Amino acid sequence: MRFVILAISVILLIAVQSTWLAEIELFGLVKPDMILILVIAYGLYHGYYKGAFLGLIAGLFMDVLSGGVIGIGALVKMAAGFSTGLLQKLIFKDNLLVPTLAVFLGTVIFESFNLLMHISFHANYRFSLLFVSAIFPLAVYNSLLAPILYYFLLRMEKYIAEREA
Amino acid sequence: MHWFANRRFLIIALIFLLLTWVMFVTSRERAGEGKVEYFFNTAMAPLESIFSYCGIVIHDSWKTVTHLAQLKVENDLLRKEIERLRTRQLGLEQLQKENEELREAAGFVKAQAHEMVAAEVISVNPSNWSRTLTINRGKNDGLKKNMAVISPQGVVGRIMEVRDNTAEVILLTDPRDGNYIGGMVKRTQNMVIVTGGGGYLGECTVKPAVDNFFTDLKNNDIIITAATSDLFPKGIPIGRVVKVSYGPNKMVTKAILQPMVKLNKLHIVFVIKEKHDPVSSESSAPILPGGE
Repeated sequence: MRFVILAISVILLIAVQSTWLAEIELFGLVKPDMILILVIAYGLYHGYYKGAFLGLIAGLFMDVLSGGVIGIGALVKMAAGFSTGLLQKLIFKDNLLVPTLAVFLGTVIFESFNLLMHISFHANYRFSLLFVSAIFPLAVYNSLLAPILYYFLLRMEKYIAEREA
Repeated sequence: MHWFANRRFLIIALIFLLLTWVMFVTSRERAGEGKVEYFFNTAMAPLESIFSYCGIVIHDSWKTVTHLAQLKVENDLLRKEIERLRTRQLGLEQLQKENEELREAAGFVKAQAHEMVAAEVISVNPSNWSRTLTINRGKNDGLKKNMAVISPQGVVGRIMEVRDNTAEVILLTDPRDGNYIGGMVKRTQNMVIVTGGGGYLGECTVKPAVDNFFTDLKNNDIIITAATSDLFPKGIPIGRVVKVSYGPNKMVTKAILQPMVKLNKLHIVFVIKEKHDPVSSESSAPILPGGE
């Protein structure tokens, strides 16, 4: 049940990210990374094991769709799911501020990692320039959307718990 | 006689007579009202005024309440109507925009000597670090890998992957290794190589094709496709120089280029299936130079 909902969510989020959100120019050319938000939120809720697994699968799926170097996104998102999952027992799950902060920091750290990985594969990017002009706005954008996505995640978990009870 | 002995009958008879007299007296034209009438009328006036005022207030309030209820119903209906018209207007504006785009596209195709196919942009790459888009034409429409993709404003990119009914276009701004276009500076005719990335997201880098530095390159110089390009017809605008970088010898070694095409706002693009560069003219067709 959870797997089906997550799979549908990942597909829908990528579709929204590639179409509607790509048209909105809130923070320049930067698009919010809905999958990264989902992975961080899921890791916070379910722990490092499930967080890393979702990050791996969703990141791989996105890599396949992106057509670039396959594996960068999977590695980055798996690391994101794993490390935020380590915080699972230390945080209060129902507070929406927690995912907002986690997504902000997670975006800064893991998108920097993502960019460095692309540069290491000879992409013509300048880290110092893009850290300020792309990663920081992306972190703000992602953290603004994080509470909404986290709220839906909580609702989904509640729904699944009721169905399984 | 015994009737008059009864006092009650006597009083009733007297009252009757008195009233009859009063009726006769008051039925005639009088110089003014009597003192009794004056007293009572004067005494009653304030009370009547209060009652009258209250009556008016109650009546008006009731009228207002019923009117408000009517207004609310009317307001709800008008709001719905406004919403409906607004939605319709948005739809019409969208249609008008699409119509203008298609009209422009049709004119563009007619003006070109090249064999082209128009395609609609379905989606863009979900990743922030890759710059590609998917179009709704593929192998079934005769598309092949490395075909040039342009828009009326200039160069968009080239076909990277072809599927049966869709194709992946790598934009000229994609920073991956090997994504470059041969071009020249329109003002000086110097040959250059344009690669994706190097600046902010959505920008490109220009490097000299022959030497290690430019002898003459300035901000706002326009870069166009060169005749030596295998993929692109010559003379199509690629972008405008926005920032030149100086090397250690104070010469311009590279520059940052802003594409002519707003690549994140594309809806219709054209894939050149076969290019036919005209021999006589400098530019192949009246391609609109974006921003000029």
